[in-house]
Amino acid sequence: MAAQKTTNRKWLIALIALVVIAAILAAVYLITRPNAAEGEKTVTVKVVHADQSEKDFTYETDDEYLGELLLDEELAEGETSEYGMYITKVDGEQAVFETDGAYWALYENGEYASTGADQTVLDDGDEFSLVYTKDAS
Amino acid sequence: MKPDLRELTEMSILAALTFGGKVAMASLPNIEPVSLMIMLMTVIYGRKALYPIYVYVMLEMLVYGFNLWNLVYLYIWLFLAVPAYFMRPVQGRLPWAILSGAFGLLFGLLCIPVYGAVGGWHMVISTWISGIPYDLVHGVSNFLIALAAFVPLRRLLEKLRSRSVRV
Repeated sequence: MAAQKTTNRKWLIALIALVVIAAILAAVYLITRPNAAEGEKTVTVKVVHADQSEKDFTYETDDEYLGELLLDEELAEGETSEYGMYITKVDGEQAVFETDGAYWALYENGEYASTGADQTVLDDGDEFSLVYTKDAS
Repeated sequence: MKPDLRELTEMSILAALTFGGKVAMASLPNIEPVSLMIMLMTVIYGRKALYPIYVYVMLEMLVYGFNLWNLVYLYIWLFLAVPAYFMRPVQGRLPWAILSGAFGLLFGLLCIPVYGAVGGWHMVISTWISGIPYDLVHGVSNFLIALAAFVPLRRLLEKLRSRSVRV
């Protein structure tokens, strides 16, 4: 009976440890998350299709992250993945990585974005490009 | 360590069920039955569980191709199977839910060796941090799935094994 109690207590402590780890992970995520700029801003999104044709879209928006804007304006569709928003369709054109290694690459002010669209903060004057890209391999 | 014909058949079915279960739940990001199945296979087959685990990994590679995330699969399930192997005598629901939950929470961290080798520290940190919400979902869903299903499924599999005729 006493041994059972000790074992139960051990697992209870393990459960508490699990909750603490989850809280630490959540804190790391919230602390390191880029802070979004509030208020209205103007951003442009250039779409480069598979046939190299280009289209520019300019938006005035209160959205804080690019992912929200793309979905709100119905410019892109995406799937939620382990690594954030994965863009599958832009301006009506679908990229299917599984069939031919094609994907939509995101560039922020000329540089390859280091975050997914749902974590990319919008600042006034930002220029984004969504480029249909094929994996050479 | 060599499985007999009956075990081989059972293991093949369990590996296929693991893969099928994962595909069936693919629309729910990071909610998966694989962790539950790995723990079940380990308590039922002990060290022989490595066979169905790696049949499952092979199925992943055959269907999705050999790439970064299934390179992780080559070792990551061992972080669940090895503790499960030593926990085999444990009967309660809570300990198994804790093990499965902890594995889900730490999944992103356990991917670090591969991401570090591919993209260096910058990639490790950015990939791990951006994946934290998904690790949290993974941890909570693993905990709940194991809490609800591990003990009944373990009993069922043990009962089926004791009933079946040895070939």
